[in-house]
Amino acid sequence: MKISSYSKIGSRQVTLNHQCIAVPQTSNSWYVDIYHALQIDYPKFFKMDTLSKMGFLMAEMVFPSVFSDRESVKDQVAIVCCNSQASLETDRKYWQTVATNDAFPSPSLFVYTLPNLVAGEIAIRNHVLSETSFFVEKQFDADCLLSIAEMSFQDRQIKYVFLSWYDASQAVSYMIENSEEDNRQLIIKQMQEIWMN
Amino acid sequence: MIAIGSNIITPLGDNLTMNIQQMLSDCSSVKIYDNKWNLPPFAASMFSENYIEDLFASYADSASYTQFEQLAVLSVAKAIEESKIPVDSRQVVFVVSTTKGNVHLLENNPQSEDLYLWRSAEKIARFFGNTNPVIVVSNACISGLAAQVYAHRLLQQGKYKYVVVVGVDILSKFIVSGFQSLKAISNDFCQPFDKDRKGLNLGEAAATVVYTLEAEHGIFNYCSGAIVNDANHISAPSRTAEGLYKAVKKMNMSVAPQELGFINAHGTATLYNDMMESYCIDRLQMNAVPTNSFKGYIGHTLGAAGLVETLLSVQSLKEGRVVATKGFKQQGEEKIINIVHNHLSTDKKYFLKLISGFGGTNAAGLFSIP
Repeated sequence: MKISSYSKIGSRQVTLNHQCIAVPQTSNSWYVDIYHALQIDYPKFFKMDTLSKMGFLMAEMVFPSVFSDRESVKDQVAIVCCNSQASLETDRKYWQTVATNDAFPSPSLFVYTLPNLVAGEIAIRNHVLSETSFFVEKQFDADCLLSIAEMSFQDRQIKYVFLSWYDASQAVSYMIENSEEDNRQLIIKQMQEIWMN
Repeated sequence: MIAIGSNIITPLGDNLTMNIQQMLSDCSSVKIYDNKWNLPPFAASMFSENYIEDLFASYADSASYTQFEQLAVLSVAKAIEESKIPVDSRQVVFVVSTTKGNVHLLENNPQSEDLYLWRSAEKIARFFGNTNPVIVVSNACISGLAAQVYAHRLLQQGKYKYVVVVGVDILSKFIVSGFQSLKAISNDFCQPFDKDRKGLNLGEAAATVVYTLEAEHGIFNYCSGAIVNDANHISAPSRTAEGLYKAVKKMNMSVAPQELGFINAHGTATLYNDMMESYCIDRLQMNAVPTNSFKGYIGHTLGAAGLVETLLSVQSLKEGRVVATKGFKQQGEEKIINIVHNHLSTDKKYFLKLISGFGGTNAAGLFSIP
């Protein structure tokens, strides 16, 4: 295995493979600013919740850096998303629309109260007709995350795993490529360094 | 992968035999709720008030466990008893499958730590003295089948000898209002695959399976399974069943369609799901295979559904029966498939489980009985 590419979104910084990406302020939303900086044209983005926006933006950086043609890889990439609070932030927002007397429950918020929607959004955008999964873990644990990616590689058709972790204000994604090389400890170390930096 | 312990708890009963008995007697736990939680009328399968608490109180001190956790613990306890595994050993790992866990706590206890799925899952495993990391699968409605696919892979990784897979979800104002806002819920008894179907009935349940790779006496076998996203739309399936069809193909089924006792479909009774599934079965050229849905008996049990319906399918096959699709009368405009009208007999040993959910997820599993 190896890390073919990675991207990271912090509260003030965006990184793709060691390179910082300049994000000029164009709106009152950090994620919309990143969207503009990456010159994306995908109106559905604006309907997404924060979790989906983070995953979508990270994939927008990583997928083109690994694959020249989105269509060529759709069977070979598994999408794995993990965090510690599932969709709790959106759950709270949705609940407000139910609990407030004069409001109606919001269907557009409710769909995002399923955390795996982030994996679905990435699959739709990149035409990935393959495995997508969401796991909830107590905290970022590179060893644990890599084990999950390794489970996907048990399907011999899977050559890459888009492996991602989300905190409230920081998220990271790694495109793990399968190969004969057994360097698990090295990858765990790299994953940790990327997350901590 | 071999199942050596199992249990389900639904409002129809707290064990498999009772559930199948009720279903073969055409009993359903779906009821119409008028003005519950100040919501418009809806039909759902729910435990009667205090049922879970009372059952749990006779078993352990309930003070620190939510209703959701109590339900899971009760189900796990029975499955573990049957499997006789050393549940507190390093060789055992828990996989918890749920969509919304304790989300009802947002109403009265919004800062509760139990809102975190990992914490709630840990409480379930720690109840049994198991201290390994717990894996939580939250893959919308396919969670219960996806969890079994992952259980198989976990065992193949070799770190653990036994996997306890538990699927559990309970209903609350949060969940019911949400499905109502999507106009996906019926206020009447659901009619899977019927031309007049109007939407789904939700349900509460827990189900547990203990899996291992080698055992002398198993209850049933997981032969293969696969998960495939259809990359179509976040809340609507591909009309041509791209993902579900691919999931079945990916499994490389070891048996011919004639050897299947039945296909247990997701059959939610929503317009789009059932249409998509009939399209899938047609593409697979399995139109002749008896196909059923259990939603008319116990509703759609969300993150538990993949496990609950696997176990009910196993039990019916063991009894040589194919359960009728309650609520179904006449097929709609979709591809013609063989929906089971009346309970049938079968001597076959295999069944195919299909399931789909929001976020474009689809999963398929092939199971057999000894």
